[in-house]
Order: sequence, then structure tokens, then C-alpha cells
Amino acid sequence: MIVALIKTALLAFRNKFLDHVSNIFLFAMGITVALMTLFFYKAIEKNIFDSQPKIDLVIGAKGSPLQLVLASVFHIENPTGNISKKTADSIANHPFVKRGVPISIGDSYKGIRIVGSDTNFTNLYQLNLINKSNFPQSFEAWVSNDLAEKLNFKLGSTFVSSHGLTEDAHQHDNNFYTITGIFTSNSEIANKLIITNLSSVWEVHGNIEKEVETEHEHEHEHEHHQEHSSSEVLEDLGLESSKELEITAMLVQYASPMAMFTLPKSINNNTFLQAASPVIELNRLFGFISSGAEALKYFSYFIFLLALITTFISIYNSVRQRKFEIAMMRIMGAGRWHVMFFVLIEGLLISLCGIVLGFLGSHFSFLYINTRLLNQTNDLEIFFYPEEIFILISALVLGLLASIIPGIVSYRADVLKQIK
Amino acid sequence: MIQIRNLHHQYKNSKSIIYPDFNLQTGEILVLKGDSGTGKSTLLYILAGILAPSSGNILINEHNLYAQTESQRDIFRSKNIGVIFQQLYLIPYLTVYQNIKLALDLAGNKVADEEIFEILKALHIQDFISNKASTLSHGMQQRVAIARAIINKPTWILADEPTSSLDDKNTESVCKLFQEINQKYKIGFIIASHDSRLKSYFPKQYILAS
Repeated sequence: MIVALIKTALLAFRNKFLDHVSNIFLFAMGITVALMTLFFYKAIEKNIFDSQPKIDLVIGAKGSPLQLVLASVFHIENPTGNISKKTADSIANHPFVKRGVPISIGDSYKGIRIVGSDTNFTNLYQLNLINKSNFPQSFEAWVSNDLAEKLNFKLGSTFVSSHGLTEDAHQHDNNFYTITGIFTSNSEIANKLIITNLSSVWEVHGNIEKEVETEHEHEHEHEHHQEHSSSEVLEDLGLESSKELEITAMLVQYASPMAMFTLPKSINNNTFLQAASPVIELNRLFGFISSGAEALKYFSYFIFLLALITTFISIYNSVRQRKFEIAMMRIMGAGRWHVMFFVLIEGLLISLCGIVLGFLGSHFSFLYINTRLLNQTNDLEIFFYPEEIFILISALVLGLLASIIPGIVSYRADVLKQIK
Repeated sequence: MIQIRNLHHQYKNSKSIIYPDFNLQTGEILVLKGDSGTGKSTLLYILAGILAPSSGNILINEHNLYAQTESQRDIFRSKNIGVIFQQLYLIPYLTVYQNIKLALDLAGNKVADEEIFEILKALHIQDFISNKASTLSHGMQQRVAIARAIINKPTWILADEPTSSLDDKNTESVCKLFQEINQKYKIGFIIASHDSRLKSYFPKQYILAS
């Protein structure tokens, strides 16, 4: 009997499908907004929190601490300025510091940031080289496998960097980088960077000041530099020896929890540098983001409430219109629970259609935004988060709730009154 | 067999009807006659198990109908009693086949499709098996309602004013159809009607007076 009722309910639903379209769309919209909010959170988690190395402190130039963290850790902002490498090194050598990773940024290629660093960067981000190669020397670069595919880079490929961090930045025509390493990493951030050594960045910027140098001289310098340590670069560039080498920031991992209480305070109070904690700054940032996401969440609740009300009205009217049909089912042998079940199926079908539509709509929209608009990945990857089950089940329960009163009305209906 | 004893029904408007005791043998056809308000339809509803009488006993096939629970009555009705209403109440979006199959499924009976086709053929509606009920003429719909009522091979069919909206030709057609079904399937009929044309087809009549 149950199968027969489900079949009949399906046929009834198909027959009145147009009457339910608006309810289905409301369910779909509620699910889309709820799922997109979830995906947005997940994307942030994936890109910011997952698989990222633990960086306890970022030391950089004075300015906005959030800007310093975003620029140096997440590479999505302009840096606050430069700091003396010598001073940064002295902090890195502090007993409370386990590892200090200098980074120098300022150039890019097709909008992708070129980060100058040293071997500590490899250890911090756990870069696994596909080929055998030492850390890049001057004008050598490493890229991730993903980036190599995207930029069509192979070992030995060359490119010219641009000054600045945007795609339309001015090109350094004389500075050819050569790809000497391709790596894999769990870090989403490292996967989106071009890695070189500090000397390359210094040299490019030294060259800006010395534009008169010939290409030949430059090549000669390039070869020569490969054999030099970074401390000697200054002289090789012909810059004034009194001018200190600078970096953008130093990424610090603590050796002891004690460092958390003393080091940032000491740096901020006693030096011209700024120490910013990524955890604190991100929590601050999430404070802003969360309020937006919270608003979206309430918006999805509102749509669900609207879907609940309209579906209830729709099913209630449908039950009134079909009272003879339902009474006839009772006369033919269906019990009270059976006709209630028959009505509940209608609510379930509306929410199910909304769920399917909302599920597909949100997934495809997110994939489209990710691949086409944000250019995050080249492939369409299927994803499903366990939290989605909760949202989908909630929508299903709402569909049931919308039909529960019409269902009870059918349950309690007097057959005779319905057919008279 | 149907046995009615001391049957009395009081309406909400305080009007009441006392039905005389009577017996009806299996396979008999009885026409309940009477003017409007004499309780013909009420008796049909009571016999169908959808209106509990104020007092009295009804035994159908030796089952005391109102000694059963409502769900027991639902099951009993689905297997022993077919009902044909004046308005027919076919499910409009279902095909002829689906309407009949639903009656079978709700009664928990299983019948081969050949048998359904056989009944439709007997009622001359086999060519409309895949048509939606709402697309058929009233005459055709009535035949579908009859097919739906007899598909579970009930002992009794209760028909409420089956000919009231029909012309003479169609009245004759329906009456002959009832006679054929009665003879072929040994199903008894209780027909509530004020239509005097039925007398020539069904001689056993019971006149209810106000």
C-alpha cells in the first residue's frame, strides 16, 4: 500500500508541478544561500588554516599589523614597508626563536608574487622538489607543480619579472628568471608563489637604481652572484656599502611558549619594527567576515521561513482541493495514517526538488566562481562537506513541517463530510 | 448476507430515522427508494461503514460492522464492499488503469493485469486503459468507477443515485451493466435511488418513507 501511495503522490505532484514551482525555488534559494555560506567558510579554512605552516609571529615595518600578516603570510596585500635584514637576523637568532624565515617581495609575474627567501622557506613550507635542485640562486626560481601547469613552465623555462604585485606592473626587461625547480607542497599559499633567493630581489631593485648597466654586464653579474653569499650582494651591486640590506618581513616560529609573552611586546616597544601575531590578526579579520556571513545565514533562515509558509499554504490548498480524492482513498481501504503519509509525501517532494536544485545550483555556482572568476583551479573538482548533510536534512524536515498541518487535517477528516 | 436490526440514526439537527429490520441474501439486488430526506443515502453510508448509526446492528457477511474498530472497518470495506457515488470521485490525473490499480493496492489485493483488462473489456472501456480519467466522458467515467468498485471482487456494491443524471438510454445501459456484473461475478447491489425507471430492471425495491 505504501508503494501505491508513493506512486500516486508522485503522479499528483507531477500533475500539480507548476503550482509548486515557486515553493521549490524558495527551498532551492534557501539551500543555495546556506551552502554558499558554508563553502565560503570552507574555502577560507582551506586557503588560510589548512595545511599552512605554523607561523607564530611576523616581523616587519611599522604599519597595520593585519596588513603585515596578509602581505607576508597570505600574500594578498601590499607590504607595510621594508626592514633591516641585520636587525631581523638578530631577532631570528634569539634563543626563544626556533626558526626565522626572511622574505622579500615586491615583484611579480602575471600577477603571481615572486618571493625571495632562503632555505628556511623550504623547511617552513615543506616544499618537496620533483627534480634535484639546490635552493634557487640569483635569477633562478622554483614554482609548484600546479603553477608550472598553469603558466606552462618547464625546467629551464624563463620569464621576465614585473615590478609591483599586479598584472599590469612595469616589466624589468633585463631580468630573466630561469625555472630550476618544480615542487609540491601541502600549503595552498606556497603553491601559488614563485620562489627565488633574496639576492634576486635585491639585485632587481639594485638594477632599477642602476638602469644604465648593460645587458652583458648584467649577465656577468648574474653568473658571478651565484657564487656569492647574500651578504656580499650589496657590494657586487655597486650600491653604497653603508646601505643595509632590507627584507619585507621575517616569519618567526617560537622555540618556547614563553616567547609569546615576551617577544612581540619587546619588539613592538623597543625597536622600529612591528611584530604581529597571525592568530590575533586573523581572529580580528574573522570578526569582520563573520558578521557578513552571519547576515547571510539569517537571510537563508528568512528564505527557509518563506518557503515553509508558502509550501504550507500550497499543500493546505491542495488538500482542500483534493478532499474527494483523499476521502475516496479512505473508502477504498487507506487508513488515517495512510492519507496523512500521502499528504506528507507532497511536502517532502517539494523540499526534495528544492534540495536537488539548491544543491546542484550552489555547487556549480561555487565551482564557476572558483574556476572562472577567481581562477583558483583549472579542474572541476567534485566536493562534498559533511556539514552539507545537516543543511539538506534541515530543508527536508522543513518540507515535512510545512505538510504536517495539512497532513493532520487529512488524518482527522471525516470521510463523509468530505464527500458530501 | 446483510442483516439490519433495530437500526436508528439521529442527525445533528435532531431529525431521526428508524429503519425497519431486513435481510438481504448474497447476490441479491435491492433498490432503496424514497423521496429526498428519507435516509436512502444515509443507509448506504452506514452500510459502507463511514457513518456510525446511533443504535442498532448491521451484520455484513456475518461481521458486525460497527463492533469493529475504524481501521478494521477500513480493511473490511476494501475487501467486501464497493462503493459507487453519484459524483464518481475518480482521481482525475490517474489513468483508467492507475485508478483501478490503486483500488487493488489500497485493498492489499493482487490481480494480474489480464484480469483488469478482462473487466475493462466487459465494461467496454478497454480501449481507454491509458487515458486519464479526467479526459473521459461521464458515461465512460461511470464505467471506470464501476470497474474500480468490482475489481476487488466485493460481495456487495453500494451505488448512490447511479442514474439520476442519465437519460433513458444511458440508464438502461447502466442497469444492464449492473445485471451483467451481478450474474457474472455474483456481486449483490444496494442501489439508493429515487429514479422510478429502475423498477423495470430491479424488481426488489425497498421504499423508505419519511
